[in-house]
Amino acid sequence: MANCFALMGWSLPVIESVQKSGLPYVVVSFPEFGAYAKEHNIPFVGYKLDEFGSHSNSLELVELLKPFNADVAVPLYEETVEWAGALNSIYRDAPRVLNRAFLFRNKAMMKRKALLGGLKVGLFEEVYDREHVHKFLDRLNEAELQLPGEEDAWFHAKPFAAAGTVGHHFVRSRDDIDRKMTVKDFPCLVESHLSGKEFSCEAFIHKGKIRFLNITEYVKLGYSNFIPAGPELEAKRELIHNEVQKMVDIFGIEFGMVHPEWFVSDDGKTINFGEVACRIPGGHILDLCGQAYGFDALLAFVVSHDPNISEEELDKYFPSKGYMPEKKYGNVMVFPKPGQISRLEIPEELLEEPYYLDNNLVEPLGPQKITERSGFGNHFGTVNFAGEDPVRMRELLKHYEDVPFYV
Amino acid sequence: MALTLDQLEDRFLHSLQAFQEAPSFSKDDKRKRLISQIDLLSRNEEGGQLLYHRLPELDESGFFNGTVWENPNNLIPGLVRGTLLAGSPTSTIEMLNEFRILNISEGRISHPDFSAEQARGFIYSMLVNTFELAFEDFEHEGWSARYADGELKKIRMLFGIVRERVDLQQIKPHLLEKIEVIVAHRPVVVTRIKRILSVISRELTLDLSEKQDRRLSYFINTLFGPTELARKYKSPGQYETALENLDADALRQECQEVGKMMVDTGLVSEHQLVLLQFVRKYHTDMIPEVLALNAHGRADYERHQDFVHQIIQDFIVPGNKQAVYGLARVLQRNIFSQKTAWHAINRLVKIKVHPEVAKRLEQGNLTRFDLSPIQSLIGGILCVLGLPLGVRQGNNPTCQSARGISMWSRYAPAKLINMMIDAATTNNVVFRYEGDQIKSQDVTEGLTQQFDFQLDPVSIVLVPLLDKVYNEMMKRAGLKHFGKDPHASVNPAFYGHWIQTGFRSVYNPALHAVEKYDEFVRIFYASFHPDYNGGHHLIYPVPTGIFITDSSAQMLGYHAISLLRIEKVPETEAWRAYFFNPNSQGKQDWGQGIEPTVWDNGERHGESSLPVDEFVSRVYAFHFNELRLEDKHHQVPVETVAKVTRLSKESWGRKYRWI
Repeated sequence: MANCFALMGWSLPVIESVQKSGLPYVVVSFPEFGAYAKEHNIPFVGYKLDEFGSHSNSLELVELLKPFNADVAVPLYEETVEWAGALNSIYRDAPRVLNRAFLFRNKAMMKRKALLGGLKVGLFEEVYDREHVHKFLDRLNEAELQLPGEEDAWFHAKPFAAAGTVGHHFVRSRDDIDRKMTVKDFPCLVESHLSGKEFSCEAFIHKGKIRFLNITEYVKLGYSNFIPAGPELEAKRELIHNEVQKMVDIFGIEFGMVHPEWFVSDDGKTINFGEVACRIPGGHILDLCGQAYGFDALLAFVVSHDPNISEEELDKYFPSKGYMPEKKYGNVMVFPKPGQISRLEIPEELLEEPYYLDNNLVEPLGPQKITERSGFGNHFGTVNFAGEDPVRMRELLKHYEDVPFYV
Repeated sequence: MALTLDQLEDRFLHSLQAFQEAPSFSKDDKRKRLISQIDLLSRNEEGGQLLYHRLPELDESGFFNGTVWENPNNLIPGLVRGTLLAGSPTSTIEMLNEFRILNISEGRISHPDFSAEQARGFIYSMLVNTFELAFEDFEHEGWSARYADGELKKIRMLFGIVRERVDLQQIKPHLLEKIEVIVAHRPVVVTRIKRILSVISRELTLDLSEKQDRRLSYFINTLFGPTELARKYKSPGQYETALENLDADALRQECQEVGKMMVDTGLVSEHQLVLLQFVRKYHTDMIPEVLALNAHGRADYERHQDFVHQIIQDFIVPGNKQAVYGLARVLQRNIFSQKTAWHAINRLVKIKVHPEVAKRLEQGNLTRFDLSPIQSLIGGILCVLGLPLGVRQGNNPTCQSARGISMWSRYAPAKLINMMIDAATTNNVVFRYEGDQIKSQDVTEGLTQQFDFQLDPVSIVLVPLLDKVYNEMMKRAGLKHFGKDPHASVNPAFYGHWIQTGFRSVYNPALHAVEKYDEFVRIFYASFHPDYNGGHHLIYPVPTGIFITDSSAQMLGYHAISLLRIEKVPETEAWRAYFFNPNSQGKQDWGQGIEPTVWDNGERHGESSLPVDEFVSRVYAFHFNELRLEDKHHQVPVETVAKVTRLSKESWGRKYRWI
């Protein structure tokens, strides 16, 4: 069992879970959080966790953490993945752990590793300016055997290291390149479009094996999802399990949790790798997962990083193997619709809905004007549902995506 | 199918447990989730009863800790209505708070600093302040248009339980006091008092052997049946028929009785309007009786009979019957005999109202009667001209505009009517500011974002425009006279020429400090207090900026009022400052024992008053006449200045640096 978990970054739900469990921990985060931590009795080390690079001094951080006896680092932010990797390399005396962290943070490197290992990925390249992108499209069109007058092949441009869909462009034509991409997008990764329905999962890994696999069904990406997924996706559990395990093997992942995104091919028989992160997914997924399976998924996320925990001990933090809950837990993130809003109004029909669980929507601070949203930030809270029928669940989530909660 | 009560209770207990177990930093999130469960229970009586009985546990869990409801001693019964209508989660915590206080009053919860006695006092006071809400069935469509159904169910459930647990007879003295205070103010808008009186007559039993109950009954009668005859023939049609059968003496007596009740209370019944219309047709000589005019009023009436008849016939209808009182007051003030006002009002009755203005006026009609825009406007101007100190700002942050309307009504009726003509026909007003023109229609932003239409028609027409002009002037002043108090140049431009040219403010923005406070106080006394200014009364009202403080003397913000006069309370030797306060609460607690009164200390209708030193201790800026100051300010005694300074330093002054 770990002597002390160093939680890298800031996540109150994780801190809450660990504090309740009684496991020893310390939070490492920006010094600005220090006062808050002190006020709420959170063991804390203030450190400027800037972007990790050759200048970063992880040995200094190890020294600062010595009084806490820390021996396992857990990343809470996308940006602290390398820092946690660096610390764990030292704690486990395994330099490659850090290299693996880089793998998660550089999408081009990630794709190459996947390709080397035999996962199906799209045609991809690292590009440094628009000229490069045009040439990439030439080659992609050529490979697709394009005839004059036919449409260009579709592809995506993504920053090397960013969470979710930040900075992502979906390029559908040559014109799009000049229209959508600007100087500040470069360098980045371009990759041909893989068709199919996107889904993601969370695999809790211990000693290189999947201990627990959560499959989330997205009703609308960035808005609504539920757990466990409906029967269509759950029928593929074994396939997904094998693919994830394959990826874990290829990447050499030993501990922690990974959050890979996949595309189900149109015939439903194969799944193709999109990308993988090893941070807490957004959209309260671990919260839903924990409610659905009846365990503390955030705590499980933390303890899976511990190389010293035994199988039996680990079992205490997870649902029993093969357990499949009856009830689905889902949520929809509420974004106010563009326009003038002045108050929160929970619709009557929601309060009468037996699947409705609760919400944490906030009252707006006075009248305000809402503009078109960018990225997936700035939601005003979530509305949670629980119930057995996945069809009803999808219906509800879809419906409440469009309901104006703010008028 | 909805969840059963048991299922809801399970969920509630589950969320409560999660809240109890949450560490300090996640309490807020868990509280939100718990509140969403409580909201599900708040939709009917059974759920409410359950919450009521679970309150001790909820209180024990620290539910109120870290919220503004934490310490019951800091709660203000007058604010409950606003928070209950503010939507979840605010309304939910407020509702639970009422349950908590009920529990305390019944001894089911014991609180270290809030006794059962205090709890009962709070509940009574809360009920008086939310009286109409407490008995509202929310059937009127206006409610569901403005508030979510679940919120209204919650409020109905709350008061259902409160009414069941509280002896309503106990609140009668509190209600009477509330009514006396409102009536003493003679407000232009009487919607509130009408609602209170109609609820009392419907819900409470009055015992006429009790003095207070007789007084309540008098108010109710004034509004719903002023005479024997009116109580016998309730419907306006029947009453009119009954009037036809009266002989001249009886009719005169009826008129006198009705007129007197109006003068006593400022309230006009439907019967009075019927009576007035009746005598206009058949006994015009009795019009002065219905309007209860004295010799001055009669003279004005006789001089302008035809016009008065036209107004009664065309412009006063059940939807604006308060205009009967307005008309009576206008005649008493002899406004029609002022040439400028006379011409202005003769023009106003002929205008064509701008469609946007008409729309606003319709929104402002809170009665169940039809009311044309021009009727609304004429009725409104009669009331404002008749009751200059009855103008209020409603729930709008527009004290300056309300103060302006009141001031013009009192000192320059023609200016006000003239401005109304512009505003009502063009939905625009034009002001000068330091050589430039400001047109309200060119200004996009005012202070107020969401306009509360519970106002008189004059305010509904003018305030949205004035608010923009004022805001624009303040903006320009901020740029043009950087580092100086913008009021110094804006007040004369906005209100008019009777604003004195001298100006003092306690605050020096360049130094970010309170400066020369001694001199400030001295100049105030030397300018306005008859003991130090040579024994003179004010000629014009003084627009005064004050610090608003709460009952613990904490500074809350700034407010605009007018100082009207400093005079001795009749029959005592105590000097008091009498002022016009455009916000709706006449009776307030400003801390340090400073509580403005609205009656019993020589106030005229609509005035508030305070002992002079207490008043001065809240002032932050005023205009004065420099030419008349001479060295009078040196005569003000040190002790007086010292007392004011102490009151200031220990209240709003705590927030400032003093040099």
